[in-house]
Amino acid sequence: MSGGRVLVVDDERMNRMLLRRPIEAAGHEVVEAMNGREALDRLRDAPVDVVLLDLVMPEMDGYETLAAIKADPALAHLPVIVVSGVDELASVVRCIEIGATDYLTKPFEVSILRARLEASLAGKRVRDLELEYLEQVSRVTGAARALEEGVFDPASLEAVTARDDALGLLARRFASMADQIRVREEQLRREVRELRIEIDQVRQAQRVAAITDTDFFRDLRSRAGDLRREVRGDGTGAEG
Amino acid sequence: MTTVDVIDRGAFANLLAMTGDDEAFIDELVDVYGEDGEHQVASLRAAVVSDDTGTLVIAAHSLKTNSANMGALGVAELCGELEADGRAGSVVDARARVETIAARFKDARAALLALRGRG
Repeated sequence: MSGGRVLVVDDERMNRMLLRRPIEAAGHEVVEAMNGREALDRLRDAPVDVVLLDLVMPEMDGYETLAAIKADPALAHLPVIVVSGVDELASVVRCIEIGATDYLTKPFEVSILRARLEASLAGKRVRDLELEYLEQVSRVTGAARALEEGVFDPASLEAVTARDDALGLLARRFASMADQIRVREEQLRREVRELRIEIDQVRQAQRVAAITDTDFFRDLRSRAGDLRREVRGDGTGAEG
Repeated sequence: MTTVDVIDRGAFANLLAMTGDDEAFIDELVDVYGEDGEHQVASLRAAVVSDDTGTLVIAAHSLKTNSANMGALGVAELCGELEADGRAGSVVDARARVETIAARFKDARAALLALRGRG
């Protein structure tokens, strides 16, 4: 499994160093911020999987930062582990109430940090898979709507049909049925075009017949025959 | 005061374990503790002069955390008490307490340098 991206928010250089080391050793990438404002900027710059958040910081403290993360719909799902030198119960309760996933006090035990970090990363991965699944389910329902409206694009289901599960099977079946419908529609259109041509030809024949099946036309043809014979010199009418 | 008095062996052993006994990294941490600690002591002194409780609390908290990380539990305890009083808005004898912290920090820094063989 590939490593996660961890944002370490702490105004103290030593704490950032102590946190960075075991996280990188576990195969994860570390991004740093020195206060809450910087943390929010980093979170909006690029995706992060877990935030390790100090509480006592200048500019914007950890409580405000945690509240801002939880109030932002794009960030609210992020696991936030508070890593603080504040060991008062009230602070732990306050952070959990705001939405912190976990609370570690400094100095921390590396094994506990790793365990809680991995648990949070696993939770984030499950959450990401759920979000991806729901997004792909909505692609299939959107495709059904698009098919009814005649604007279905098979490319819109490519990512879903590649799935190796029931949703992937459903998407493949749907795409296959949509393709069959497309082929049948094209065949029907071709047949309709051919029928139209036949109808046009019949109509034209009927129009010609309507003209040629009259006494006037027959009289004209008779006169024309006479004229041709006169021109060829095998008749008598023209010379008399 | 001896190194044993100033630096808690158990806490320092925990730091060694945290860093995988990486001496170069420990050396770097000792340097950072010394450099940043000087700034934190300067901030504490400035906060006392300007009667700035907010700065006092943040500087005391930072020095407390760093000292606890390095095993300088005496400094950490004094800073923790100052931080708590600052949060409660009732810091008594601030100047004297900050100077005690400064002296204990100086001892702790020297002890850490001795521990890594540079003292």
